[in-house]
Amino acid sequence: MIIDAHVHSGGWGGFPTEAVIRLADRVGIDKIFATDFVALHYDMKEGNRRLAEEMKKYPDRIIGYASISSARFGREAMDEVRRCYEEYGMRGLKIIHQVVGLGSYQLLTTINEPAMYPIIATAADLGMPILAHSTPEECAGILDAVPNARIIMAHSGGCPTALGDWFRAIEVAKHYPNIYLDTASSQIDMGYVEAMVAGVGADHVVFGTDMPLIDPFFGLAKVTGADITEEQKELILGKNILRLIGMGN
Amino acid sequence: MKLIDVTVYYGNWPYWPLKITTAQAIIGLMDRWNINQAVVASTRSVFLTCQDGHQELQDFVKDFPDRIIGFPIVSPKDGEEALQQVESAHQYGAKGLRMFPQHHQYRLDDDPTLVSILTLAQEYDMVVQIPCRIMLHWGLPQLDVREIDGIAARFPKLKIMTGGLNYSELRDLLGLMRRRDNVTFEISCLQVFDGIKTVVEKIGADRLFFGTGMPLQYPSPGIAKTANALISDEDKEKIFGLNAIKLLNL
Repeated sequence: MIIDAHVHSGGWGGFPTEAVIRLADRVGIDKIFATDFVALHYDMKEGNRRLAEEMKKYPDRIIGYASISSARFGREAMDEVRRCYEEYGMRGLKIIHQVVGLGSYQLLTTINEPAMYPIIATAADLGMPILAHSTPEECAGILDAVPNARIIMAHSGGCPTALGDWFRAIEVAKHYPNIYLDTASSQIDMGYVEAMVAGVGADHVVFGTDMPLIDPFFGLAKVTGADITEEQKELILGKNILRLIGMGN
Repeated sequence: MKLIDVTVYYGNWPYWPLKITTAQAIIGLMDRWNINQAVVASTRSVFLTCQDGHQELQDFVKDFPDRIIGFPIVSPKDGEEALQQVESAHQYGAKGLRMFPQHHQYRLDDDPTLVSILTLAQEYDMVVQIPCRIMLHWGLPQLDVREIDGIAARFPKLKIMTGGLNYSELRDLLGLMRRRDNVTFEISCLQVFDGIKTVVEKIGADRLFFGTGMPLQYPSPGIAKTANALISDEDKEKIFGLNAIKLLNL
């Protein structure tokens, strides 16, 4: 089973969720673990509610991330995470740092701030893995504050704010067993999937595509074409994320 | 279907270890992914002096003349030496040049040496590749694709190929290609979903070229995104190889 643990639903880039499901069908992706575009970037309640409706429409295809746009909503965000888990059946949390203006590499907000820790702790207590669009150091800081959280480091350094530095991502993850590395990125530096597996083990690498922004055929090929074993590919492509949400061994 | 990869590198990579650095290993990688021919430039020329990489590139071409097409890297900052390098490249049959203003720190302006290089390239019908990124890596320097507009206008018969662009720069690329018929594009860094389809619909398939960026980048994702693009099989054949055969007179 192939599960894409890094998907955007709800109309991102002009692609409605139905189109994302059709795209997953073309690629051969069985389930998508999705975050709603509106929830992550504008209104968490509106977006999470929309995603809940889509999860009802595609119960066998969509696993939901609760999303929050900022830790600065405080108690409201904590309550929203809990509600997404209990009422909507969402099984993960998506958080993102924000940058100073479109295309900037400079952070406006960090996810590693005290206001975020109670939200992370809420997700951790509920057993929700946290997909964190962040730098490696932000992930480390969160785990210093909330050690029982399980963080999937979105893009594994392969995003502009982390300057594409997957090597640093692996080095940080080596010191934090609760960090998992996400394969989603525009970057395809040759050898980096193999380096992730060598650095943290195949059981700590999670397949993601970032569709519909990034081409999922492209994202899948970097895992299937890597020089790792078939068993390691199976872990990365689905078994690990199932285990993280309590649906696998 | 013939696969011609127009963006391949040869040599060491100072930022992290590469597994594939020798000529034989590159040929092996091409064989593994059924890539028939590759347009290669030397990384030695990026990080040391341009001239430093030319001999090993020539040797690579000599050893594998049916597989490797050498594009020496030149920089106008080398002055007269750069012009000699273009002459020399032309004499040994090089079909193009590659340039990295963002790494060698110059502008695509009216610098007399740059103008002379491009004049020679146009006269010799050489392709001038100007990748805006050497690979899709968010930490490495990037050229603003709009900077190519000036030289494309000044040298309307010069065959310019850009690349290294992704979602954020797609709009500027399309604008450049709409304005300048002599600008073509290679896709090794175009990872946005439907990117190839978008360029085909707006510009046409005749000016798109398959590239992987190997061995800095994995080759398989580039093949997968092209093979699965929602475009016709005829257009895929053009992108994978027919366009390169035509442009490079292979």
